[in-house]
Amino acid sequence: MNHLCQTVLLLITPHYFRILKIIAMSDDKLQPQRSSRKVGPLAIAALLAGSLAQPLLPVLALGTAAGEQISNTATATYKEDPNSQTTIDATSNTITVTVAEVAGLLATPSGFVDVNGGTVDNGDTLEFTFDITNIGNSPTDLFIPGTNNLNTENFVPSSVQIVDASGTVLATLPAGGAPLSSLSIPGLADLDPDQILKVKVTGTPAAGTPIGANVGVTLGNTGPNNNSPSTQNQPDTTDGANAADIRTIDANAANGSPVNGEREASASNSIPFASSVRPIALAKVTKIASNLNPGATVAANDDLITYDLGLTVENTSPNAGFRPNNLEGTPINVNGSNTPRVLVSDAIPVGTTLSSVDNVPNNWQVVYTTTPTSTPATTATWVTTPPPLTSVTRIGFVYSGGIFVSRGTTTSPFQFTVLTSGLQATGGQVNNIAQVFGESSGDPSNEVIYDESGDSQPNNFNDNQTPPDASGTNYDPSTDTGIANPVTQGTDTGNDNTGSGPDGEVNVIRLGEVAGSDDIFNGPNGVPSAGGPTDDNDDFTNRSTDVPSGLGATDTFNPAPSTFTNTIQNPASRGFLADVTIQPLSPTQAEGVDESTLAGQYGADGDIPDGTVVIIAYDPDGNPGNGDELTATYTWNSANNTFELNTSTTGGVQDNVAKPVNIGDLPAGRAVDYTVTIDLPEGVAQNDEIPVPIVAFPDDDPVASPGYTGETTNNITINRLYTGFMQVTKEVQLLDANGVIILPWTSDPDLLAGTGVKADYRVEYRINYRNISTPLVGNGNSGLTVMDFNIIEDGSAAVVNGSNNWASFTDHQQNTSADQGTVKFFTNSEDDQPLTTSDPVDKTKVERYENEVGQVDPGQSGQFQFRRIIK
Amino acid sequence: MMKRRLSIGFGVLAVAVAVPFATGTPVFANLQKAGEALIKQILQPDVKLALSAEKQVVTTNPEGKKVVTWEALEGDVTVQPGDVLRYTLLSENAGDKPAAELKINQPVPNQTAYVLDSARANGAELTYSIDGGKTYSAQPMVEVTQPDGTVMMEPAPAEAYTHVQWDYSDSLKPMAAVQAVYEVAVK
Repeated sequence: MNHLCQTVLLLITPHYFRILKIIAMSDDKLQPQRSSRKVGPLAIAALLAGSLAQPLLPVLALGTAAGEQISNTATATYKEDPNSQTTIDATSNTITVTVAEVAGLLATPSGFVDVNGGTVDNGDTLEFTFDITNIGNSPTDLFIPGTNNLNTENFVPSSVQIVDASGTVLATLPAGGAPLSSLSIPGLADLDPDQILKVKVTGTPAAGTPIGANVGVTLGNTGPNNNSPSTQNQPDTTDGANAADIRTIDANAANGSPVNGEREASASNSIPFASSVRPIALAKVTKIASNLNPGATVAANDDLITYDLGLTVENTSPNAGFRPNNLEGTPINVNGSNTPRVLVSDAIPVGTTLSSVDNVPNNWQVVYTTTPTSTPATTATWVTTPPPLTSVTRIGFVYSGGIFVSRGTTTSPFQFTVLTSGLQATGGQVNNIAQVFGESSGDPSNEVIYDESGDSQPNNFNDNQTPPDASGTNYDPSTDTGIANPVTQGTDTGNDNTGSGPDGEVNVIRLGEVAGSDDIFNGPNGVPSAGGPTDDNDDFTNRSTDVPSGLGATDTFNPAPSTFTNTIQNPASRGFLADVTIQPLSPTQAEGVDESTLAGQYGADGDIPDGTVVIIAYDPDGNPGNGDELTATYTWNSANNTFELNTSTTGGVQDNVAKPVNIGDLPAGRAVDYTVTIDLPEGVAQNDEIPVPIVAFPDDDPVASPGYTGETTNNITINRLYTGFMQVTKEVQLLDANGVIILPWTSDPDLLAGTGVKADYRVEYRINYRNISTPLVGNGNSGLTVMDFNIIEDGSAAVVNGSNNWASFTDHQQNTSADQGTVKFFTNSEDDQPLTTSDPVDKTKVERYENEVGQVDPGQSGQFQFRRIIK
Repeated sequence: MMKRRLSIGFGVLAVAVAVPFATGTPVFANLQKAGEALIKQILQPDVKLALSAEKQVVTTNPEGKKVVTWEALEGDVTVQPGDVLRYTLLSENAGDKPAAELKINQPVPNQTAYVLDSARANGAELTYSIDGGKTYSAQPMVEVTQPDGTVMMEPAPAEAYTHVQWDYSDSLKPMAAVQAVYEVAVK
């Protein structure tokens, strides 16, 4: 034999096999067939990677480097005579293709300094620093805006500079901005893949800035300019190359342009005027499940799960309003002494008992409590002498190395093991979240510094680096119990502290049958293996019906039917799934059908209006009208909370006996689409949410008992229909001439009518908007984002349920504010062009306000507010 | 006291939601045929191999359905990470005698990963290698060390595949051709 082996040989070692395992289990499509053994959870598999996994480094260049060549040559052997030992070789032509250049750009705020310290006051020199990262696969030049083209908020920029990691200035941008390559910085003619460029914007607060108003700057000009994903790595083509953008410029035009075009990004940072940068301890607690010992038997209730916790007291702040400080203790009762202590705490997960404490870092002391978890960790009674371990409700670690944990310190692992004795022998789910408590060193208010595990932000900061409240930490002992609930808190699906969403995210380990790799996938269009907030069953597609214009806020209506397209797939590499069937379930049924022990992830039965019609349709060849289409029509009956099967059709002809849609056999690897049409009845309210779980499963007896009868191989996806999803409320507040509130914010017109209104009173209006659709948590889900949201406030417009008449008897007064987007002020209602886009002086004639909010992501809310004075 | 009635009725609220657009134009596959002149050898089988490649192009038609087409990789066409490439090997016996025990061997090129189940047998026995072509099997398995230390055999993931082999038991007659097809994804 004379095979040519042109591919680099991979060394087959046990270590390599472990890597393979990780690859296999991190990609749902490649999961192995379920076997009868206990399956290790995905979470555990991921951490077997050890040093290979670097989940906390989110920035990765886009795959293979540009210009790399993929070369392929085939070889063959054959014989002239079958009985001969001599083989003849043949070699094909070589095909070589070149990997194209792909551009990619991220921009994030990375620091703030008030040079003279103290509060941010007139004349202070402020420095905002931003990190710009090349996430493309080729070196790129960059355009960086100068002082003339920054979006500022009460801030007068004086310079834009390139600095190195230690803050040394490498170059100063001209006022009009310039490409990086023109700045003649040695070694920085362009930015390599994954390389970070630090840009410092220096300036002072604008004269006349009101106390509390934001002083800030946006470097770049992309989308809503609010640090959301919509501001990162966007095509530069939409608005063209302009001088306010941070944008990529092809560094090597000779090899062609990036195939995805040039990209742009922006980053924003701000601090309230007259506020000092608040010194605050920024504590981050992390958690991973580091080992799973399956125990002596195959049962799931003798397994041992080891958790590793970590604590970092940050040395840099994610937000300009805060300066990192040391973490000192908050009163914790240990051995009867209620004195300040830094406490890392973990409630023993439901279904488990503490088995052992495996590692206690130097200068830390392990503590235990048997106080029920209904009492928060900060008021529990802790002891240092181990009680019987099965009675322990929380395990804790308190700092014993001094008064405070210094900023810039990372401590790990705080390691302990729990026994899954409370699970079913067949399997179950173990949910866990860790907490850390302390205070900022020297904080006279003694506010508790608090963080939950599951993400990479300290102090439960939000994903966009904003604090949980103005003080920079927000501990509420009545709700922050430390009891893990994946449905409400979300999950850290990667077991690597990269969860997203407010506060912390739950670490979830599935054992036994609930851990099985899925043998069928059912998900949004083109993404059958999508994962939802808790697992691959509560993945979802959100859609909205049209809402007719002219409806009042409380009017009901009969929406037109809405159609969802979903995809199912057989992820196996061999064989087929027989008689794959698709049907709707009630939310309660869905909870029972999935492997999870959680409740509530599919909504409630009461969310579905009585008489809602659901039609499942499948067309094998995508060619309607040729006789192979299948449909099944269900009607929701609120009396028994079930979807009742009414009729079905085959090839457009009604079946004598109604049956669910059975698409037949689904071969390995095959994915097919089907549709779900939801027709809501007359009388539904606006901004309602109707969840319809759809299950796909191989039917075990499609003849005698067609439909879902408890088949364990199944997968659910949620088709969630909204009757409108932008909730808008308008409120009014009355103040007297001195600013004293006469009528606080209300949306009740009767209250307003009943209040005596005098000349010189101020009327403040605010419009609150919220995208009520579920946030895009998980992967592969389809959400509802508003791309172009405008608020138009016309003071002489005839509108639903009355009229806007404020223009005729009030004058404009300064105090306009918008959470997002620009505000346009129009002199007359009918004007096409605005008078101005900055808040005009008092008594300027303004008959119409427009807030061009722009993009509103799922879950996002905001306000637009303006003030009028009674003539 | 002013005799005016304040109203808090809504102004007009305009909401626009983005809709997906069809991108690009479908490009139809253009299978290449071997362009080489057939060279006769006296009473010898002579198998000529002609390799061609195409890139998968997924577009959305006006009805919102995804349409998969294949664009021939020739001239200045480039690929990018995530692209799926389809290689087609045309093996033609240009000789005068049948070619026996034809075995075709295709490496999974560097910077790419095999797309599971993408190889089409066309009458051949299909086997795969995960060790650089040393050994072949119909379903490569790998040992996976479990958390408890035991070792299980599980199907190898796509990233482990290094070669695909087509083994034709029938002889390839003179002037006859067979076609071997498989797909890879650019890393």
